[in-house]
Amino acid sequence: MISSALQVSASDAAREQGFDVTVGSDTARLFSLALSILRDEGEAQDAVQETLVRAWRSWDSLSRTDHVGRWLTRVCVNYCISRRRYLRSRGWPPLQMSELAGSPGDASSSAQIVDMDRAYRRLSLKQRAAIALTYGYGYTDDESAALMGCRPGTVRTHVARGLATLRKELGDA
Amino acid sequence: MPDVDSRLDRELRSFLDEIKAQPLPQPLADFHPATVRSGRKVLNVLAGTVAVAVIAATVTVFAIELNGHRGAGSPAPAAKAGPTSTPKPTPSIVTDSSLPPGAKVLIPKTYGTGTKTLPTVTLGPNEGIWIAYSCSSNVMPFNSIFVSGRGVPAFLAPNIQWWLHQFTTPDRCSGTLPTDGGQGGPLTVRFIAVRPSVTWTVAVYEFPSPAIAVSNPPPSSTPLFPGPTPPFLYAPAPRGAKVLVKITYGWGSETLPTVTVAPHLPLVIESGCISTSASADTLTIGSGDPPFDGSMGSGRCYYGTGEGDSTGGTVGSGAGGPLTLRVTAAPSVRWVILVYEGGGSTSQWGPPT
Repeated sequence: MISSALQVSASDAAREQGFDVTVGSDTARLFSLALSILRDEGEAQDAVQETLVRAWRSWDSLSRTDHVGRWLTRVCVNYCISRRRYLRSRGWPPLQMSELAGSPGDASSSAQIVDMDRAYRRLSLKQRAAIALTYGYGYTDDESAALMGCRPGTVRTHVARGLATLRKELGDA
Repeated sequence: MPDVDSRLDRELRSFLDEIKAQPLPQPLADFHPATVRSGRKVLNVLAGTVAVAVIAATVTVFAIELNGHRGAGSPAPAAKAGPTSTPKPTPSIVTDSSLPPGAKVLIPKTYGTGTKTLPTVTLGPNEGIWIAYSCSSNVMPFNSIFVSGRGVPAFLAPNIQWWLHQFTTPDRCSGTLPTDGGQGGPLTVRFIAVRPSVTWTVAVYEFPSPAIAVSNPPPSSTPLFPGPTPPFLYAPAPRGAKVLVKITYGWGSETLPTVTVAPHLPLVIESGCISTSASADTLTIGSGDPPFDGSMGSGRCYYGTGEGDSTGGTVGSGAGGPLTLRVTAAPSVRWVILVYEGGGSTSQWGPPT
């Protein structure tokens, strides 16, 4: 029995180590991606935590694939979208309020960044996700579509409409 | 890549780079989904032989948790337990004896695990909040309670975060967090746990605050604020005083407009500040004018709760003259300042000659 326990423990330790090595390096990237979509640090942390938990639960099968990073990104993006939708459907206002309240807090940001942030918050969630993926992380439309679970044409539409809103909000229309 | 003009392209990339540059929050850096399944791991290995012991332990945990809930009336629907939560006794809180007069329940006792946001409530004008809390962890990094929304009763900050490090017992935190009143409005309380396994209890009360409510939120830059006396300032300028710098809000470093101080009149600088950063909470008020011979203010803004101060002196050894004040603070420090001369507080620096 003791021998069996030790074997299992060693196996689990290796599993954890493998998880740490593979997923750990993605945590910061996932956080900034979630933050760029949700614009709320607490919600972004929740999104990444949930993503990591799901990854851990699926690690036995996930670790055998060569697309862990993409899997994590897809789960995180979709969690962000569905989370936000869930909160809104429940009439949950704190996201918007904290956005408004929190935007001037980082006074180290340049006025340009603050203006962009204010305009960016006007975008829909999917517009933010599409823009973040294509602009912030350099994914192609096809890749972004796979990550968001929609067609490439839909991604292009989200990006185009998002940019139009940014132009309007920034006075470039 | 979509067609986009160069300016928008540049600004958008700069903005997204700014987000990318944000550091990973420590609780997330410390988060490890594997650490919350140790019980399940043991169960897998020893299932056949120690099942009875596991069941007994489960019953014990349940009994302890049930005991922790006893006396709390009907607890509000607990925040949804995180998928990684580990059963632990939920700490109980004792609050009734210390509640301020007139306190009413705003958020009933709520039990939770891990980081959770409580339902948004609306706080009335001039109402302070009194948060009673306890949690099952009291070691660094500390858990925290984060309050956000327009109803946050701290006028200088859009939100408040308290780090729960009141040491009562080695393995749990417990305490209360009072605030002054504010303008009222929606308010959201969030418990931020450093680990998903942390269990906690939070109850929020509202009570009539002696602080004066203000009618407008802080401006986004540093214009003059037209409202009545905000928190942290002792009082409006006394009768007979001449206001040189009206109540002004700002954050970070800022040079105030140059004012001319009359001869032989004491100058009074009232200020208050609050910091949204634990590591940067110093406010310094100085002047580049050598003739200013009073003491300049330099104080702590006490992360989350704020602090007020009053200082002063004369200009030009009593001869008066121009004075330019500069507030020096980190961007995370929000401040309010009021400067006046004359009035009733002449004794501290001697009467006019």
